[in-house]
Amino acid sequence: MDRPDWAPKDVDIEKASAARLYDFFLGGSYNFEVDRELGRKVAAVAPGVFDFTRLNRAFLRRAVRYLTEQGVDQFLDIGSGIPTAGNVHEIAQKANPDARIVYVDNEPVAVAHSDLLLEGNPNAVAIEADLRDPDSILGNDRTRQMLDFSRPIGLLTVAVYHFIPESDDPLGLAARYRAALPSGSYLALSHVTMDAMGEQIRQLIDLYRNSQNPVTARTRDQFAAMFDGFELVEPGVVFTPEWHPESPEDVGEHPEESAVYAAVGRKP
Amino acid sequence: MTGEDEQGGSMYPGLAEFARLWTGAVLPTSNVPLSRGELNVILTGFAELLMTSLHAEQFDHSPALEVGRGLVASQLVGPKALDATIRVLSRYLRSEADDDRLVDLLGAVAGGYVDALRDHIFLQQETLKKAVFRARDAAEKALRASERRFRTVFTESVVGIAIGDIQGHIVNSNLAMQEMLGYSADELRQRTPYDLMPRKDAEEVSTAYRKLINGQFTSLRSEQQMLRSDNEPIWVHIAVTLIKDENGLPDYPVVMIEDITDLHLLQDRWSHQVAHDPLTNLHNRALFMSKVETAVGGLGPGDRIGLACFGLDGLSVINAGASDQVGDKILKTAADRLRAVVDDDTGLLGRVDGDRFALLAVRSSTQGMIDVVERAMARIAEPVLAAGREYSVTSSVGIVERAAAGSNPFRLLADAELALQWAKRDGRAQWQLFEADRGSRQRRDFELAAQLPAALRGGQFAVEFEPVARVANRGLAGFSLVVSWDHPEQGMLSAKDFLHLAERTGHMLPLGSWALRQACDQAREWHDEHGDRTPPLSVALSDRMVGDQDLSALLLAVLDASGARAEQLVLEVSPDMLRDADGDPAEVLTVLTDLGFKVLVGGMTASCCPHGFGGLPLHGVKLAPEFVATLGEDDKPEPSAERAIGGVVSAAQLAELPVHAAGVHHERHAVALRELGVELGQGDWFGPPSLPFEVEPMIIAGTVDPDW
Ligand SMILES: C[S@@+](CC[C@H](N)C(=O)[O-])C[C@H]1O[C@@H](n2cnc3c(N)ncnc32)[C@H](O)[C@@H]1O
Repeated sequence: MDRPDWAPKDVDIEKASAARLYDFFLGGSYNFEVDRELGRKVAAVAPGVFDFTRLNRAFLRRAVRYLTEQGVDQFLDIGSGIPTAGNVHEIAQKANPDARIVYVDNEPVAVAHSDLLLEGNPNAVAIEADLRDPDSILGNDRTRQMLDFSRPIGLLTVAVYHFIPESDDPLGLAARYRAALPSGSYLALSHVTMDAMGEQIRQLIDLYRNSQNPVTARTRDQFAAMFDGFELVEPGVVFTPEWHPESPEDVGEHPEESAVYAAVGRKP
Repeated sequence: MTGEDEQGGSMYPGLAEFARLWTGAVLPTSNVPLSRGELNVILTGFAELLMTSLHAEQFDHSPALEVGRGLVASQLVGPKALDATIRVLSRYLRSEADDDRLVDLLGAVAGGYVDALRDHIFLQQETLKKAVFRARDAAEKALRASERRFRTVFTESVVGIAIGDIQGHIVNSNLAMQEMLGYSADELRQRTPYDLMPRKDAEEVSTAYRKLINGQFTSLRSEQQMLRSDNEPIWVHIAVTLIKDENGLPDYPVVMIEDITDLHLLQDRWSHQVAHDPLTNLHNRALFMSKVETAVGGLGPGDRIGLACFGLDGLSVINAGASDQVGDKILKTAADRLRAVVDDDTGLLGRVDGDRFALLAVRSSTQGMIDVVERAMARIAEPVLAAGREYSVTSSVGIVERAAAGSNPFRLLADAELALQWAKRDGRAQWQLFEADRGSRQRRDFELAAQLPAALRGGQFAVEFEPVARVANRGLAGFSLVVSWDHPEQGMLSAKDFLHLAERTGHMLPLGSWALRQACDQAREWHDEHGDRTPPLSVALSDRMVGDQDLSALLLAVLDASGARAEQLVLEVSPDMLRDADGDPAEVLTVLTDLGFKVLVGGMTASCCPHGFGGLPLHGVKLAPEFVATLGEDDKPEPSAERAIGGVVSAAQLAELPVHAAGVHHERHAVALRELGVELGQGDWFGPPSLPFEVEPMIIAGTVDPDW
């Protein structure tokens, strides 16, 4: 039997969560032994995972910077995770103190954490909702209070869609969100792939199977399809380090070893 | 930050290279929210601080401690960040100072780093704990709120809610549930919902309940009867949902019941009302039609289907005069009588219109259909006692009987209704089989009706006189006026071809008064010629004429104009006109007899039994030609026809009315009729309708067989 709608989601810290694992790989301490235990197992078979996450996080930072440079001053960050170094509101509000941010995650501790951090910040909120329920996010009162859907919005769904299995229709969801954005808006996405680092990712997927967030890797084409109808910002779909690098050394000789595709698209 | 920078350069050569390498070494170790350039600026500052303290006279380890702390502040907190820093520092600072100092310096950097990192980690873990508390708190608040909501719903709901254990026993119930079932909370405990159901349902529900627990159903919903503590049954909507625990195992069932007894009653009554005619309790037209459709659909290729449409004769007349209750009583009685004849096996009944009933028979035969219809007609025709008076209401029936294959239910009813119209038009109190080609006959009728007025003006009508004889000895007893139409295209048309048209189209009055004038003129002429030997001349008055308010004025005027006397004429009226709407003797009879006319009831058939004729100012009854025709044309006796005629004759005799018969075309008819007690007859056996000069010898001879 499904949990009735009105029953709150359990706060489960007995099981590893994607949010805390991600924090662990980033070198954070917002995690529990269950998370670290799984994290160490993952690192043993997929040692690249520290780079995958760090480079992904760096892409997020550069993407937000890029969007603020394009004049975007409102952000919807779905699957925002645990606040950590280089949070979206910090980057955006550093460039534009009036920038507004809505953080969304379905992990209650991550949301509570964001809440704590955002106390006293009138221009940012965190809400607990699920990517798979667009109405609960797009129609949420707090989203509507914070964001003006008649002006361009930066929608960030970074390193999240690989937690959405095919059965939940990720393409359909992406389309829903794209449709909700006004013209001039941007969509920033990143996604785990097996096109490179196949063996490590396969092992990682195996281990994540028992976490709260099983992982589905996708191909370049599947990833590109999530931007349908949007104009991809140069250089298009690339591995994370290749997207608007800040210095040539950052790209390195093997950007594909980041195992994560990244791209930013603009709604015409 | 560096203080001693000189336009991008430094007092220490190689410092920039040192910072660049340091940046490159630590950047991949941690999630630093900075670009390489930004981190490089910070690390250049740190490098300069370290250089300065290496080169100082007196070693002070605090700048190095600060650098260690600063690294943590810059988010260089990855597991390999310190390691990478120490390697870079020892390699590049080895040449700048002696080993002791270098070891002191590196120790201070590491000390500051570890110190700050410990704080950093503690702080993060502290924050994480806070976040967890906060999340739990929020979750608990939400839970409490939802529990509160649930409790409110539970206690306040008008829906009966009970929480059970895994065996299905009720553990907790709300007030609504207790009130609905008439048990207290304690009494409900340890009972299962199916304990409170009639035995036959209980088994089924408990089976379904088992399936629910086994996970074969996720929820159970149905409409059920339950028994209250006082054993009174109530109807409920019942929904049982199984709540599972976190592991997906059955935890407890929630039972919800809603009392729909009223709704049920209402629905029952409503659907019955919608489908049934409240007066007669027969299916209404819509339901009847849907049943016909179903029946047609269920029949095989060889099967036949029959539909009869009964119309009560003259009901509107009765309704117009008597109270509604009389009409209702008659309808109800007719419906009951139909039901008595038609049981569920033989047919399906419906009230398809105000005074119309329909009977559907499946796997029928034409003869079977006719048999049922005739039985029903006879039953319906029996007198009905209403408001203290007896009414005789006959019915006319249209019958369709055909192969079921391809039959359209609506066509069936429409054709039966058309046949009913024919039956009514052809004299009522009879049935008519629908004939496909009669449609074209009907068209011809309409044409004739349209030509009637012009024909009357153009003198296309003629009268003839049919002799009426004593059946016993063929003595002349009178003449009957017969009108015929010499139609320019269709030739000679007899009264039965056009009189009904005249009656229906409103041309009866002119045609009828014309005929009356002809009769009076002839009567006077004969009387002038033959005096008292002249037998009476009878003229049929149509219903419309009888019902006309100006009838007596018309008669007086015609008598006056012709010089004939009333007693020389016999007026024939139809049985329908004998009584008024209240069932009283029609006033017109008295008016006619007061004027001196003799009144004869014509067109008698089996269905218009002259039971109630006693006491009416009548001079006799005349059997309709078609009634007489039932005696058959060959020499075979028709016992049933003889019995029917005999019944009418004896009833008339009881009322002391002599019986005439029309349409006596065969000797055998005459013999049979005489034996049955019929006194007078007319028809081919006694002589065809003829012109005045042809029948004059009969008057002279006093017999229909004059010797020339
Ligand atoms: C790998 S982290 C990414 C965090 C951040 N977007 C970044 O790229 O640095 C993925 C986050 O998505 C969240 N997440 C996973 N499935 C989600 C869903 N269906 N709805 C909302 N958030 C989800 C997880 O809780 C986790 O915090």
